[in-house]
Amino acid sequence: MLSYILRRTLAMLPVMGIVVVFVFLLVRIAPGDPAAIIAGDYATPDTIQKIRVGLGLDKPIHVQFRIYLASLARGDLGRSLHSGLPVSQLILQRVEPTVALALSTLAFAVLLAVPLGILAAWKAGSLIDRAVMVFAVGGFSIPIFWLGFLLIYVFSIRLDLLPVQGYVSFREGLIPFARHLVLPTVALGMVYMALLARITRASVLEVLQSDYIRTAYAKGARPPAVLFAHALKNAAVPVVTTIGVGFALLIGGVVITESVFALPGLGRLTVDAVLQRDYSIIQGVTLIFALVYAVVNLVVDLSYTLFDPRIRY
Amino acid sequence: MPEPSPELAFIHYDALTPGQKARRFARRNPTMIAGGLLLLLMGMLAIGAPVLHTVDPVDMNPIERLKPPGAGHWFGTDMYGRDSYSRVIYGARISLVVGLVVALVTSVIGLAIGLVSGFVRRLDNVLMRAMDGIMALPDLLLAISFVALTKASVRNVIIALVIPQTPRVVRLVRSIVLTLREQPFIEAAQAMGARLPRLLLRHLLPNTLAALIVQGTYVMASAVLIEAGLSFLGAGTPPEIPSWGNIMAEARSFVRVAFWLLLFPGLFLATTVLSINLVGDGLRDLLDPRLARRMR
Repeated sequence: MLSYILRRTLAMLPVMGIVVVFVFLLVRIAPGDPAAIIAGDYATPDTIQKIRVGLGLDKPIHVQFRIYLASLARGDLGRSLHSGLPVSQLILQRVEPTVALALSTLAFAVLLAVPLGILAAWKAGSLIDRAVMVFAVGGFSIPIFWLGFLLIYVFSIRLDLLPVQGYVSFREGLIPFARHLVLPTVALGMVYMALLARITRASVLEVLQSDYIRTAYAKGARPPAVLFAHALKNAAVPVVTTIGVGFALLIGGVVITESVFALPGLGRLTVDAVLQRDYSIIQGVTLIFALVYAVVNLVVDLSYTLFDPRIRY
Repeated sequence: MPEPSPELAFIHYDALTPGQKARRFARRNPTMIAGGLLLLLMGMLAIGAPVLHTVDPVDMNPIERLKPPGAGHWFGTDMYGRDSYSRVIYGARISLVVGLVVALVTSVIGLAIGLVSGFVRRLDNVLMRAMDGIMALPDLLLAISFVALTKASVRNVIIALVIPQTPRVVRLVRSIVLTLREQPFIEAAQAMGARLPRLLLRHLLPNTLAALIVQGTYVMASAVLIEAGLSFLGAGTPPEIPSWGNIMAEARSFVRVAFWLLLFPGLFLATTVLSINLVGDGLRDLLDPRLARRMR
């Protein structure tokens, strides 16, 4: 097991390497000159040149890459082109709302979608099954930001039940914290839920048609026992895989959701950086998101042994 | 039109008239037909926008600011007094063009890389690692960074969407080629002296088309959604072009006073994506039921 974790972590390295190269080139091939952006509109060519030298942008590209790698190895993600603050500091300041939103969405989507998918498969062909499938196709087609505004309009403006926008840290009280997260969680969770419900249904349905389930019935097991004791565990692997793969949807959705609900998280940091063309922040955030995505999928791979003892590492 | 009698089901399929075949198809695939009709309607709106609009979509009229939907302005007016209905039907153009072009370009590039990667072992590793690298980045993030680096234009949005979507097509095509290459007919073709281009184009390519078409519809659906998302964030289609994402981005500060400005473009967007997904699901069941497993 331990050797497998090591091997998988090592296997992550080439992919992360490609990501690093990609992120590095992103800025170098960009048409805009970062030095000119920092210098501002009224800078003389002289000042721009000084800044360029200060950033090391006058050096040959392979030297620049070596410097970039060396600073990454020290955990240094560079400084914001606009505020001059270290990117790692900016990211740390914005982590909390994003992590809170991602975890609540994950919990919301998994806790609702998996039972719904199981129910749909168990009652295949019934009205419940059709309703779940309609929801799955529909949920996949609704734009997050539109759903977000619909929710805001109905629950915050018309019914006045929940706050319109903003974020309150859990340190300032759990109830206001939760109230601010409800709508963003639902808006962001819908796509993920639709995806998971669909895969869960398909996976459970397939297992329920297998021979050993027929055997279980034949030896007289009761239907609930067949479902819970025999079927579900074997249906879990594709579902868990989808939780991992779908995490990319969640990350992309976080950027949009935070913008709609004015949550001061990493997504907002990204959008602001994009609008200001603050390349070093874009680089840093992209790397972090890619790393998180890779780690999530590593954890997913490792969790397979929990569900299927035949999978050994 | 009279319903076909139950006995008809026992007649051999080939004996049916084309009209009967079509009706049977519609009866068995109601959601796909509904999706297809909706998509057709959107397409007609997009093409007919110059005829169908009631007021010039960029015409500002300060006196008519923020008017709710009514007889003169079916979807109301925005903060500059522009007619929302006219803007929304013009928005269909951007969404559908971006969706179609991205689906086509992604399919062609993905097909080419997938065929080569699946069949030419020496290139496989390099190509697939590059695809892994792209797939390691969430698609919206990749698209947003690309647009941030270049000038906002429809062309750049299309490129920004093609890059993250391509690996999905490559993986699908490659997985099909990997199973095909072990089959006797490929061996036979090789034994007869077929060269690589002929093998790829005559023998492997036709067998990937069904899956490719289905995947293409899904690529189109996500392209339409992500384009709207990018425009909504201000990193997509230039703001002077009325696209659904842009209209909603401008309207976002007016949720309280003019909700219709957000309601209609979103409704059209969701309907378009839904109809593409329905057509895709229908095609998948139709072309190859076994395909359903291969597609994520």
